[in-house]
Amino acid sequence: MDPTLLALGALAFAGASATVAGCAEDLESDVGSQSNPNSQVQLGPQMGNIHRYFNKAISGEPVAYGLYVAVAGLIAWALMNTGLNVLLAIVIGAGVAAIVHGAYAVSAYLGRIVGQSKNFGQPVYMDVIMTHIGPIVGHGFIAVFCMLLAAYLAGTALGNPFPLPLIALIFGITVGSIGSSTGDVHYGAEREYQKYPFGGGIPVANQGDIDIKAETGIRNGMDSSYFCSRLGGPLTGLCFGLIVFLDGWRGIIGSILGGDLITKSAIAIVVGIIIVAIAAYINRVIEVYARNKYGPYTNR
Amino acid sequence: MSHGGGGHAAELYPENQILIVGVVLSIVGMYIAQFIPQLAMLVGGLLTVAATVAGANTTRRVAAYGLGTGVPSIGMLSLGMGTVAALSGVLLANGMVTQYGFSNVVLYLIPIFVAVIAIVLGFIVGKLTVKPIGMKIPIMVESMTKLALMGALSIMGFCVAFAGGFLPNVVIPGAVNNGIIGLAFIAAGMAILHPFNACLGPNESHKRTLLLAVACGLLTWFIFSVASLDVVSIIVSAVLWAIVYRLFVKQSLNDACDVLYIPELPKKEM
Repeated sequence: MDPTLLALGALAFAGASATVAGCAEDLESDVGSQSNPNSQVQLGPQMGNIHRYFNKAISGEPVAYGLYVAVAGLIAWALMNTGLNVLLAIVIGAGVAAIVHGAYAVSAYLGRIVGQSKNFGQPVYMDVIMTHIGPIVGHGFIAVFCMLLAAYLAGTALGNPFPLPLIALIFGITVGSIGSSTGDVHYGAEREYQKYPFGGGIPVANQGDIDIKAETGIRNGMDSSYFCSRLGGPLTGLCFGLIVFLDGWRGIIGSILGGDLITKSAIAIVVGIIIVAIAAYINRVIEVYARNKYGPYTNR
Repeated sequence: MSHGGGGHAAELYPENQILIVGVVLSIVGMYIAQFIPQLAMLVGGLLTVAATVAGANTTRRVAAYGLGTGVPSIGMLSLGMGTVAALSGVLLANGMVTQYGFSNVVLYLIPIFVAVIAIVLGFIVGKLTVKPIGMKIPIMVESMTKLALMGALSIMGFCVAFAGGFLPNVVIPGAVNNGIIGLAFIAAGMAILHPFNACLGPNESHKRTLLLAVACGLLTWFIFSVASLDVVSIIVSAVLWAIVYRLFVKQSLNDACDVLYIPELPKKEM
């Protein structure tokens, strides 16, 4: 078959799996209140708000996902070298990464909660651990599996020159960064401060004064994930899928149109600049539209 | 940051004692991996755990100065310096033998080279964080030196255990060219930064942090055992990890003010 067609197909597949990975990654981090919202969860008990959030303080998402996907990548790579089926190797790698993820998640919750338990009266909720660890590890498994699939495609079909464990590490760091930067906007501080007027930011005086009541009952990480599964998760996936797809696409456009290496690279760079310009223009239009429609923030 | 407190609790063992144990054990582990490659992952991997534990313990001391969100960063910095030191230690010894005609004995000093380069590098980075950057942590230079040393030994230890030796013709194709060093960077980094990052707080205790440090180190060893498909190491590391992890969970539940199994908030005393 025509190699260009194959590359286009692999690229579409990699983009699709990156979309799923981004979505699962964001929802997973929302269940555990990882990275950005974590510091507010951490401050809660100090302000007298005994909460039932899952405090998953495993570094930031980029580092954590770098670890999981690299673990999965290394193990899958080792198994592939023994001649095991590729898909099976990726599943086993992602499975071991899920065990590692679960071990780090439980230890982070126990460590952080017990670290301020006696002074501020925050109890350890065993039922929170039991109910939250499943969704955390499950979403994590989906994200790691899809990311590893994309990394494998990048190495075999899209001509990435690095060995699989390194590609997996870089892809893991990327999915963590996108999940943190795009996804946290939808959970982040606003969800934890719903009792304050929207858009007001978090004045220092309010820090740690987080919402502990949910729509029904006492709020936990699952409510946050449910809330974010409407917009935050899918948008994170879309953003990451677009990044992977458009970035690969400009390279393929270059190799279709260009002759020698210099022209190929030049076309890829020019296409990249055009994509960035279009994205910046769309962002500006949306920003102006939102300003005109909702106006500046007023404290009333 | 207010949640960066803790870490000044009474120390179970003095920091330098843990550090010396970590340095000695991990270097011994590298020599065992070099001379008995069949035991590389089993013994070399196990002894490298000592290096990550010592690194985690030093992280606890320096990060207790209210770094808060900086705990992961300092762990990554430690491993960054460690990677540079590990690679330059191997390449320097290699260059001395191939380019300048030193005897082959120099190659067998690679672990020492790595340690010395890490100490120098850590000292320079520590000085830089004090002088132009202006971090006002009294033990910064000392801690950076120790962190660089432990980072380098952890990376080198796991790479050597995986490749089965530290000679350049073994470790470079066996652990550097195939990207193992990338995983050694992030997995050992996590084992160094996570224990204190997880356990920090006003009620932090050295015992819990150390238990978690040992558990994280063993988990890293388990990852490398699975990757090297060494069945004995996989079983031993998994069993040891489960034992220590269970101790950590028990100790945590013991130290908590209350352990609840139902969704109920404690009544506030008015």
